[in-house]
Amino acid sequence: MRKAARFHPFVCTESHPARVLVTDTSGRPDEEDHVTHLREAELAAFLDGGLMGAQRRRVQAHIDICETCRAELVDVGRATERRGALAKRVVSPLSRRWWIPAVAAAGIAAVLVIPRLATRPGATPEQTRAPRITDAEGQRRIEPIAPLDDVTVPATEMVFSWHAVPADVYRISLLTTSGDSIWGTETSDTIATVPGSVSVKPGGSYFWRVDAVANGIVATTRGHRVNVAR
Amino acid sequence: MSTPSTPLPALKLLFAPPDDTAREKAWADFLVGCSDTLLRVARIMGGDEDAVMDRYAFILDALRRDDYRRLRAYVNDGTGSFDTWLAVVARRLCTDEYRGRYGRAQSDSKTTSERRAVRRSLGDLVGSELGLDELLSHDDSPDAALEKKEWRATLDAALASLDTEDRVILRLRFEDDVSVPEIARLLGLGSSFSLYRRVNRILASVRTKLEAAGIYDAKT
Repeated sequence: MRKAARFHPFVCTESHPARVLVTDTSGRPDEEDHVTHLREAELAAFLDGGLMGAQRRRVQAHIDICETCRAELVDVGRATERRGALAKRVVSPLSRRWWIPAVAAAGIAAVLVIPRLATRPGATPEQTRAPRITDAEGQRRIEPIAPLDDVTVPATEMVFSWHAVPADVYRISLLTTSGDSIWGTETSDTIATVPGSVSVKPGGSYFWRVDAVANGIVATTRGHRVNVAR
Repeated sequence: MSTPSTPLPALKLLFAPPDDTAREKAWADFLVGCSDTLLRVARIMGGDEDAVMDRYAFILDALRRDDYRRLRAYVNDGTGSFDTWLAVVARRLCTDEYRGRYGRAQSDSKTTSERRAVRRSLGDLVGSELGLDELLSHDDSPDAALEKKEWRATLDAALASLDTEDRVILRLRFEDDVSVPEIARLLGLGSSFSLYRRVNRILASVRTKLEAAGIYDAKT
């Protein structure tokens, strides 16, 4: 009877070169080739953004050629994303740079929205503010329902829906691939339809995003690609 | 060589318990904190609920085996979280569980051969994205076959000359069918907007190399 623990393919960690050609993009390494796989700590550190320079490049070079480790990267990334592991990530300089304008934008939005909220009759601060549950990126996520990423929809049926989060209002934006807004609206519902008066190009690609607003942007779907049918 | 450190109080008790009762309690405390992660990994490998629970039980058994040998291997060097490390360990144990149940795939097995036949290489997929496969799809002549072979060699060379991270992005996108936002998250590359633009830039650079080799018909 075969025992799983008899041969563990991942304990072989160092100093054994993989029998694959780095420059061969058509040939695929395989788990049966006894490739030296990444150490568990390396893969975890890469996913957590904790590797820099040569270490990061070494891991990238490996997942470039190793289908097995790439599959692990994707699976573990999905498993840890769902439990909100991003909040614990070590922020790399690259991602830190990206979040500077994002945080600045959230701050600007807060400045624009606060005066409007302050005029709501009878609203207490507790009622106007949704709880701020933030991750490493400073914003809670709104889970989109439809359309999912990269889905193609008819131009006349551009309807976006998402899961509710505590918020005063949702702000929906439709953007070109270069980031220019071509339509936007606000609603307290969790569904929005692009009106027929908005011109979208058949065969074109756009991004849609929903921001939940309550004393600033408290949650976002981030951008999701949607394609228009020809 | 670094000394393994214990990331959780429960693990400290687990590794050096005053008695068996304390050890059992430490294990129970450990599970309270980590069972969610372990179950998510077990679920992401697919199958029905029975399969998931079998996998979960296998993971727990493997973690306890040999006086928690797997858990003792954790080194807190500050580069990654314990939860992520544990998820990687659990994912690999899932592979062990699969192999224990169904056996290790052999390189000449039917399954492996079929999988390889179904999966297209990066060159095929990027060539398709650039419109190369459409050009000769209706031409079965020997000349066309030779031409296609030359194009493919040029394309492979162009892909091989890419920056490693760029090639990993293409592999995740085209070989593994991972969405661009997810790639951005997995590789820590920031916004999906910029990654969409980057993918376009990478494909454009491949197309430029093809054009430099006299292949002008690849579409954007």
